[in-house]
Amino acid sequence: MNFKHLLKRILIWRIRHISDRNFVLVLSVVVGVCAGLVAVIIKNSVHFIQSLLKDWIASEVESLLYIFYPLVGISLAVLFARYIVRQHVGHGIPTVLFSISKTKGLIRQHNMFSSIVTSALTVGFGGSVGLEGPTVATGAAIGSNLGRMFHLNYKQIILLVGCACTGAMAAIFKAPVAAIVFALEVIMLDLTMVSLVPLLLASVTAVLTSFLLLGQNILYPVDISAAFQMREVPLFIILGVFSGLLSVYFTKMYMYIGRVFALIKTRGGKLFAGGLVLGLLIFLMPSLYGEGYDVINSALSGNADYLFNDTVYEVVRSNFWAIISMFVAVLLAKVVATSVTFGAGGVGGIFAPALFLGANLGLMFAFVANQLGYDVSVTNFALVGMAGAIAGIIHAPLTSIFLIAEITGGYQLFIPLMIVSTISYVTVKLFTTNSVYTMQLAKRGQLMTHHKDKAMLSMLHVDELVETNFRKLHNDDKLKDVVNAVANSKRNIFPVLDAENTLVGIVVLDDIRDILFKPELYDKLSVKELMISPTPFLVSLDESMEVVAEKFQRTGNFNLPVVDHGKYVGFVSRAKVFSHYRRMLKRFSDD
Amino acid sequence: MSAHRNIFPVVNHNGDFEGIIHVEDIREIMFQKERCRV
Repeated sequence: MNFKHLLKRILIWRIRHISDRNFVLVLSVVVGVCAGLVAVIIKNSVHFIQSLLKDWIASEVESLLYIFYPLVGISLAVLFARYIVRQHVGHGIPTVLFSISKTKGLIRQHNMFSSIVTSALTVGFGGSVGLEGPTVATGAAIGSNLGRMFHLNYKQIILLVGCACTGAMAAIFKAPVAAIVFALEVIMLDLTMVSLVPLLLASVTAVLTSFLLLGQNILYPVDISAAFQMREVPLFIILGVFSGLLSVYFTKMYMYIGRVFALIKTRGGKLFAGGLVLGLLIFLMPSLYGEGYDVINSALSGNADYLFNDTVYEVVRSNFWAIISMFVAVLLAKVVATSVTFGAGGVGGIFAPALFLGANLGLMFAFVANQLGYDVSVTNFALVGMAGAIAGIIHAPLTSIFLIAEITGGYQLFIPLMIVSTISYVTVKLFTTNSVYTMQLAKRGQLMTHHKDKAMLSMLHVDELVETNFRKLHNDDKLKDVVNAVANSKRNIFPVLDAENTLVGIVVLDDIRDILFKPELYDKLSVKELMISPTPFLVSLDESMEVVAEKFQRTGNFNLPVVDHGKYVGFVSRAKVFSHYRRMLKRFSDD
Repeated sequence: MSAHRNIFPVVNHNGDFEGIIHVEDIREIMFQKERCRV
């Protein structure tokens, strides 16, 4: 019996014996296990590569080789994507958001393994990015393809994708609640009773899988010895503002470097430019090497030695101003290192870099506060700084609060976490509307958010709504031809085309009612005298529905002409848009 | 005065509503003069 036949029998049995709702619950558990396994595989692959590099290379040349490792790793990742996968490997969370918004939750099969290999190569060799995005993307690809294999509908596939993202985050950070909040806040799933149970199941299954294979120890084992004190509130407010400003810098610099790399036309050029800049930065600041979990753990223990280890400035490590200068340099350079890793062709995520930045910012802030005589806990500030950076960079204040609370194993810092995350988020929102995850999609009007109107519009496409049952007129026609068209058409507007099928005007029935019944004008008036210019109303076939809706509102028209590269296609009508909009809204509102 | 709408309510002498004429339904005949004469 071949696989197809077996699958068919399973599908038939399933439809007979298990309801859709219960089947999604079963699959959410499967997806949770898979997401947990993916997290373990990626983590272990990176450890494996790192240990290979450490064990096989002679120690005396090691430090110098570390500068070139990232270039090698990214090259291998690029070669793997180009010659083995032969398709573009996306950067995790934006890939997932794109699939939810534009491809009905369908993610290509290669994503079930390509992100694991490319991100392990990138990070294992020292690329300055994280593993969370690729883990989430891999899990999401498994969820999507499982859903497709079992013939689930769009809504159920999206729910499974959300379950996979939840599972991936839960398994990486061993933070099941924060993972669910992440799915609601970043993946932008709607919280309904239908979605909640599968998310809970996926989250808890993934955490258990992670516990089983990696042990129950938490990711950042810190001991919160100093409780939060009221007198620290002003300091946390200032830390929140700085976290927000750092996040603005991250977003702007990330986008800027992305634009610079877009100017480099060849893949090899991008690779070498990125590899060299990254190598240079790692030479100057070795703490930028890899995803930076060791650095974060060191920062959380209040130890900033990593700033100077293996550097040429080791001699000034005890000087306060040198420490602060290095902190600032590392904060500024980490964003560049992450961005050039992506620019060069590396695959990874920005979650770990955000945690790295937050921990360093918090630690620096505590150092300065202590120098000024405040006597604050460096660990608490480093932790709260991490939350501030996640809230600002990823635009996820709730996720950041729950994540830090969970990964530190306690809720003692809940109040400062709330203060810093909220202020950071508010600050970043003053300067940037979208996070780096969502910026590109939002720019194209393709982002699915909790904003129901925008979400529904993002799911409507002009090419699916265009109507073509209009009588065409030619630019040399006379009024009698218009009358003939009116008599034989069901519509009240008539596109006027030239010989090249270019839309040159529109005749509107309302404008010519008076003269329709004056036969003496039939041969005298030409179409050119009767038509209006289509330019202010033109809609192109690939335009986002949000823009189209805005055009409907601005012009007050009931129909807008649609063109493709200047050539007439048809019209899109308010009535049809509205009926599709409502149908979509109803489908998504069903519990 | 010409209308801007494509539906026309039909009322009797007492103003009672009797029906609706859709332009859609009469397009083909509205330009046939012989059928328009009273």
